[in-house]
Amino acid sequence: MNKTKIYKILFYIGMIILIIPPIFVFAWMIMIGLKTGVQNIEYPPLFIFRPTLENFKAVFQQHNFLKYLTNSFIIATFATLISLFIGLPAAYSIARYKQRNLSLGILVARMTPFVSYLLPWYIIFRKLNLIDTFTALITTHLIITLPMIIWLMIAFFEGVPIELEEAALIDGCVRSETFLRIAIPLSKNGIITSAIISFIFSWNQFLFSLILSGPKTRTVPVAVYNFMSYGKIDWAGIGAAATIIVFPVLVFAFFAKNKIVEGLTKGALKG
Amino acid sequence: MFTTIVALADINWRQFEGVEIRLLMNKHPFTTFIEPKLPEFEGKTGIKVTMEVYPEDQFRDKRLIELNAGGKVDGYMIMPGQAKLHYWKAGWLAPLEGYMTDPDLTDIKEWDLGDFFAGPMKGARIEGHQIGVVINAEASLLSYRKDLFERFNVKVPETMEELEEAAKFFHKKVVDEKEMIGITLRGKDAAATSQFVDFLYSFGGSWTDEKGNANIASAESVEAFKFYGKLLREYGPKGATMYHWAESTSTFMDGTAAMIFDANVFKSLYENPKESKVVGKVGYTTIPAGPGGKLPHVSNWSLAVSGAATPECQKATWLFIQWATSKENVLGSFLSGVPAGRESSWNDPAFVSTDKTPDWTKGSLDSFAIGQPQWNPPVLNVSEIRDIVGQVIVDSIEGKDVANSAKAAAELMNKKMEK
Amino acid sequence: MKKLKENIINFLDNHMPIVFPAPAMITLFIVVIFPIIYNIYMSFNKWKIGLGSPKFIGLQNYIEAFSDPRFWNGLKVMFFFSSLSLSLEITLGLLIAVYFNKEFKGSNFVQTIYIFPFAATPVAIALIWRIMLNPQIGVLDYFLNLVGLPGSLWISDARTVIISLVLVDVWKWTPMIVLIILAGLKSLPKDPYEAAVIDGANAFHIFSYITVPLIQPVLITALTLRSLDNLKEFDIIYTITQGGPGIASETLYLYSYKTAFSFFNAGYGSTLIIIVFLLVLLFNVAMNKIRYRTEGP
Repeated sequence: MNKTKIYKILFYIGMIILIIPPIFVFAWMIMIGLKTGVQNIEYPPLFIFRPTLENFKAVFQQHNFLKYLTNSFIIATFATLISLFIGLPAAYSIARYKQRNLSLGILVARMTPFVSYLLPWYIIFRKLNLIDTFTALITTHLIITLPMIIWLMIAFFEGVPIELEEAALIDGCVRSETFLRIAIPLSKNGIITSAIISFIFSWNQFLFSLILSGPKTRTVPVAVYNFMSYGKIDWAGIGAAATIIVFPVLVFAFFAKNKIVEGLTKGALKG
Repeated sequence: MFTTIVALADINWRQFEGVEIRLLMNKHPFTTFIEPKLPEFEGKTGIKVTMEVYPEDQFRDKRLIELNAGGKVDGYMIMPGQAKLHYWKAGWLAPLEGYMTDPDLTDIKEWDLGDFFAGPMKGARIEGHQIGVVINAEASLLSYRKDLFERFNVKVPETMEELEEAAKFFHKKVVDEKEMIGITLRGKDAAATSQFVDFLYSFGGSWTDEKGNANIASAESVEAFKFYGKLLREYGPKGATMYHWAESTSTFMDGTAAMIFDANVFKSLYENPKESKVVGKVGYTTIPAGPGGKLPHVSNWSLAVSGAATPECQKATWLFIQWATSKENVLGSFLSGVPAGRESSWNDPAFVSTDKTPDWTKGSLDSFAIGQPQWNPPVLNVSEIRDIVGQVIVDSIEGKDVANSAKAAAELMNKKMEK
Repeated sequence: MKKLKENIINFLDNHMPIVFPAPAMITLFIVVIFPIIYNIYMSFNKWKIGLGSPKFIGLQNYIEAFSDPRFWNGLKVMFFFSSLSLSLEITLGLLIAVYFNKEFKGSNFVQTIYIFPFAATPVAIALIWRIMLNPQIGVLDYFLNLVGLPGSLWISDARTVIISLVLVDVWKWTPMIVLIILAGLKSLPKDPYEAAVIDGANAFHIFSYITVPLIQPVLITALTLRSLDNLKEFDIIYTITQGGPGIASETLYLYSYKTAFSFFNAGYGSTLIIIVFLLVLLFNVAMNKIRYRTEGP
């Protein structure tokens, strides 16, 4: 065997070691969901067992997860769409006119601890009679999605060559047209990316939903806590529920992998 | 049979037809029992009920934020020993004695106030007002593997010394190829205090002295901390400092632990073949006697009416509470595993004839008879003080200097106690 | 009518820097600034939630914080948790990225796997870790025993609890940092490397004298980005330990939550939140300074 071949083998061994941790945790999560309650407290842990789908069934039938999944989906989608609608022009303007103060403001929004929102927001929504409504949850999720989208899109818009827009201006386009006809189409990738990332963050958000949601609007990260009850934690149910919650975002991530990396990289590289 | 009684009832159950009430509930077995029966209540009264259920920690946060902001909460579950002082002072609890004695609102004879256990009912009283109706009575029991105790001829502990001996005997013993641990208890700081209190009292210690100052550094209290910590350190599970109820019960249900000391309500877990490997192998008894006697605590969850709700909603909620705590429903939840707060349930033939664990029944009733209703530090900021005390339990499990730790905690407790 | 449309477009064009950002900025102002003001106001008050109304007490809450041992504990935990997890994530991220920085079969697969921990819902994943970290029945302890290592108490031991939580955070975020740095590495200029190879530099020299300095801006920005969430880590700690055993893993942020919602001290809770906010702000300002020094404005 020659040297390069040995290097190659060593490299792949290293690669396997480096991807085991992420794979294992997800695999274990699924296995917990496929075990019975008794099997889950067995030690040494069982690796080979007869899997059961009971837990997954229970998650949908007894715990109404379809509704929570729908709720999460509605909230994440609308929070993302609204953020795009008002965030894109803002990002464009900040990118074109180098509005540093505004981008600093956005950074401050991202720095604010979420706990600080709970009481004031509850009080306001209570006054407006909006507790347990999608309006309340979508509004608070804007706290996460809007700065995220602006932040990422600034980087993308800066990547749009200004010459193209100038050429369009000379051709008689007005500025708002160059935004709609040139900047937006050219940044299509960036828009998709930031929308996906914003969706994921909204989907995963726990604290706001805990305090502001109710039976009508409960989201999946809160619902997973329902498997803890008096005296016991239903590990099997949690395994199944966690799998179901994580599944949609993983599918998303799977299909949009390159875009997400690009988005986060742009954001990071630009800073 | 039941329908005829309702028909004869002398109150008008439909007097609040069309009223909507919203209830916040803890995910407790009682809630699990009563939630599916809501349509029955709605059909009977025409009252529309929204019931929201959360696991305990999230339930407390949610209840607090909603009541504070004046959210529509008409009734809720409360553990009086934990929260009644704060909630009463905040005006979030409506006094119920007026409803209980009003013949228009309460079917006095049928509901039968005298049937509830006096101790827990007293626990749900403050400044002479009844602020809740108990839905369960909870005491902690020593549950042990009677199969192993018989097999190895070990005496069921009646004193703390015997408890330690039994734990020592079984610890690290290999039984049927499985290495046992002696005993499992809650060790997770604040969560442990509600079980530790039985040891504290039985060793002659207390949270506070007559003047209301911290008493957790007294010689008796320190002994209790030391004993509890030693049990877990030397004969307990690995990592006991993170043991909340779920960890502790699973260690017992897995068949790893020879004994567990925790709430009697968990019998329904131990005896459930879907969850547990020790079904039918468990014996139950009261806490062993310590130098200070045999002094378990008795606690309860209650249903309360919000003091901030409109009078109409308050009364409609009272109808709900009356219905939920009727003899029939309490018995029903009892048969599903919730230790009942009514005497009649324990004597009901439906229970007695099917009782597979008479020692559990006896242990529970004995504990209720001698139970101490004050099981938390008598302060307004219970959680904060429980955190402080919990630190001593953790230190003791970790084998640190308990006397010092208790002294520091007592000082902090004196500084932070609010009444 | 046409005139009106023209007027609008003209107005838009002339005032674009104001009109375009306005909706987003106003929204952010409302959703973010109001709660901040509320918290600043509350931090000067004493208020037990539900009892009476807030009472102005000036700076007393801030003074109390400095004599509160639990405050200092929270600060310490926050410091250890964040400095450990951030430095591990960046270091491991860089090393792994350099490892994968080449053409190889399966690179697509690795990237896919590495995006998963980032996307997974923290609360759900933290619950799974909580099972895995259980010293009595957890699978991690089993692995340790399998390879002959003594078991660990993981989250049950005050000495290892923070490290265990760091492990979870590192697991969740390192892969993402790898991907970011990997993209950064791919965009580096080729010439310095070619020159170094001609000069006969070895791999270690190339790494420390070329790669690290060139990639440094990316590292700093990745660090800044991560710190925004890391310093306020809540979901993982709340789900796995709730700050225990005792208060051994209670960050200042978690303490502020408990103060407000378990101990009902809204005023003091707000004070702690404001302090957390200031710390995050301070860290970011510092990182910005460093960045400008390395890159120029």
